[in-house]
Amino acid sequence: MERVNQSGVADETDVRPAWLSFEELFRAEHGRLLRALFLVTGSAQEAEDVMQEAFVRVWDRWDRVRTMNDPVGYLYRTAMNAFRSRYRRAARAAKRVFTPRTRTDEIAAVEDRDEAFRALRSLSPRQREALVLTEYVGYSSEEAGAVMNIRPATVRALAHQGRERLKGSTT
Amino acid sequence: MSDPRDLLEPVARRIEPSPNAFERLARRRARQHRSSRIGTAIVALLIGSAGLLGALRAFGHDHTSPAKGAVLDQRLSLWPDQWNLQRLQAFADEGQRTWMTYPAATARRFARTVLAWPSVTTDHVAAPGSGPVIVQLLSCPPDRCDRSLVITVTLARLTRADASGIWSVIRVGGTSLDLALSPGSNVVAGDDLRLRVGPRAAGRRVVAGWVASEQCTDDTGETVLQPAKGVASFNVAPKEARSISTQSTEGDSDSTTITCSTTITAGGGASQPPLARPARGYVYAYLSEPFTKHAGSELLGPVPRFIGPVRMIALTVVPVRFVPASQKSAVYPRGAFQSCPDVAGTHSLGPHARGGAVFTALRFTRAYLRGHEGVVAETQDPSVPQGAHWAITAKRGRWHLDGSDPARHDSLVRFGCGPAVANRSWAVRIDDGTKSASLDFTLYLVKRASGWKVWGSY
Repeated sequence: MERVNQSGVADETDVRPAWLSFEELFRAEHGRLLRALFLVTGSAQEAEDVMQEAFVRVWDRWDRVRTMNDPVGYLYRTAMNAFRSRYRRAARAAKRVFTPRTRTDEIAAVEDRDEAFRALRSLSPRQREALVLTEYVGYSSEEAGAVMNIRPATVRALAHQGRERLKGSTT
Repeated sequence: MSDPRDLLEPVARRIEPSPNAFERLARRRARQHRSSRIGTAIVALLIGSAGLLGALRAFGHDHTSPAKGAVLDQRLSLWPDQWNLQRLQAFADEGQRTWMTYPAATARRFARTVLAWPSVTTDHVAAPGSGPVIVQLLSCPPDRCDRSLVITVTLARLTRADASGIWSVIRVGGTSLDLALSPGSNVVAGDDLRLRVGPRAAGRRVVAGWVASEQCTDDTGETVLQPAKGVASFNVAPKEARSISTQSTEGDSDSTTITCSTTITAGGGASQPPLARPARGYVYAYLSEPFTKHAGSELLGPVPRFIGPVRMIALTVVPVRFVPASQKSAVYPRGAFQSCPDVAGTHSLGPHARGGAVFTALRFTRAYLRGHEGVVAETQDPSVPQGAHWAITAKRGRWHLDGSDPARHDSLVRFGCGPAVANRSWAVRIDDGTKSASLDFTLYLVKRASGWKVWGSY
C-alpha cells in the first residue's frame, strides 16, 4: 500500500502497483473491498451493491483515475461516499415511513445471533468506517482520512472509540 | 477480544466474492449507460423543443435582452468534477449542500478544498444579470489581508440557469498568475501560451502545464518556470495517446463496450503522434508553498491533493479545447476570446473613432456591473454567444477609464481573431479601481452601421 507523506508525495521506498487496465484493478481489489464494505454496511447484499456502484464510477473515469497517485484510495473513497449517501437516504426514508423490519437475507439472520457481528453493528457508521479502514484494510490514519475526507486525528479518535466500544461489547 | 483485527477477520471471511463478479459489473455498467443514453435523448428532445420555442419567440419579438436560462457546456466545469454535476444538483434539490447554489459560498469552498487555504475572505463579487459571476478571494482573515494576493474565480450555472441551479468554477486567475484565455477557447497543439505574472510570483518557481482528456485520448504535460514579472510563456503540446476500438457481442446489447488500447509504451513519449482530433482539457499554472510539483491530471481531481502544510499561493486554470495544428487555419477564435466579430459590415476606423468607442465601452461596463441586461445586449456585438464570459470585475464607483487605442497592433487580438479583426477593432482599457494593475481589463469594440459594439474583453 502506498504511503503518502505530509507533502502529498508518495514515499519512494513504497512499491506502488501501476495499473494497466481497469480489469486488473478490479481483479486485485474487489475481494478486499467487498469484505471491507461487508464490515461497514453489515449486509452482504448492500456490500455487493455499493462495491459495484463504486467500481462503475471508477471505470467511467478510468482514464483519469489511472494516472492518479493512488487509484485504490480513490476507489475506497468512492465506495465510502456511496455507502454514506445510501445511509443518509435510508435514514431519511425511515423517518418518513415506518415499516416493520423483514429479513430476506439468510446470512443476516445468522449474523444477528453472532456476538462479534452484533458488536460491530453497535458502532456508528463513521466509527465502523474508521475501524475497518485502519484495522482491516490496513490504511494509516492519513490515508483513511483522505478516504473519509476528514483529518487524520479524527480518524484516530473514531477508531479509538470504535475499539473501546468493541472491547466493551465483547467482554 | 484484545485486537480488533482478530474480531474483524473472521466476520469479513464470511463473504466470498462471486466468481463472475467482473461480468456482473460489466452488465450493470452497460445497463446504466443505456439508461443514461435514454435520459440524454429525452433531455436533448426537451432542449430542442425549448430551442425551437426560443427561435420562434426571437423572430416574433424585439430581442434586445439576452435569453435568460442560457446554460453553458458542462464540460467547462473545473470544480466540481463535470461527471458529478447532476448528482450534486440532485443533492441541492433535496436540500443538501445548498451552499452550492450560492456563488460566493461555492468559491470559498473551492479555495478551502482545492487550494487548501485555511481562511478565506471574499473581497468582491461581480454578479451581473444571469450570466457567469466573478468572485475575488483573499487567503487571510479579514483584518489582516495581503491584497497583493487575490484569486479571481469565475463561476457559472451549468446544470440549470434558474436560482436553484448549482454553481461551478469555470475559470481561475488572479493578480499573481493569469492565463490569457477564456473558458472553452481554442488552443492549438504546439502553441505557446501567455502567462501574466504578478510581483508575488516573479522570480519564484511556478508549475505550468496542461491536461487533455476526451474519451480515450488523454495526455498531460508539466513544466517548471521561473518567470520574471510581466508576461511569461510555456509550450502546450498535447499528443494523441490512445486508439479506440469498439467491441460488441452478438445478441447481448449489454456487453457492447468501447475499448481504449494504449499504443504508446512507457518512455516512448517522443514517438507519440501529434493530436489528430480536437480534445477537451484544461491548462494551468500555480505557485505553491512550499514548492510542490504534482501530476496535472490530479490538480482538480476528486481526491484532495494537498495534504498537510502545502497550499496554493496562486493558481490559474482555464478549461480549453485543444485543436490539432493541422486545423490551425480554422482555429479562430482562440486565446483570450470566446468569439470573434464578423468583419463584414464593420467600418474602417478613422482618427475620430476614439470618442464613440470610449463612450460605448464605459456604458457597457456600467450596465454590466449593474446587471442591466438590456443595455448589455444592445451594446454587445451580435457575434457574442449567449452566456459569454466577460473579464469585467471592478469596484463600484471607483473604476475609471485608463486609456484607449486602435487594436491594430494588439497581439492578443491578432493572435485570437486574426489581423482582419485587429484592423477593425478599438481597445478601451478600464482601471478596475483597485490597487492591483492585473485586475484592470480591456474591452474590444468594432463599429457597425448601428453604432459601436463590444465584442470581447480581457
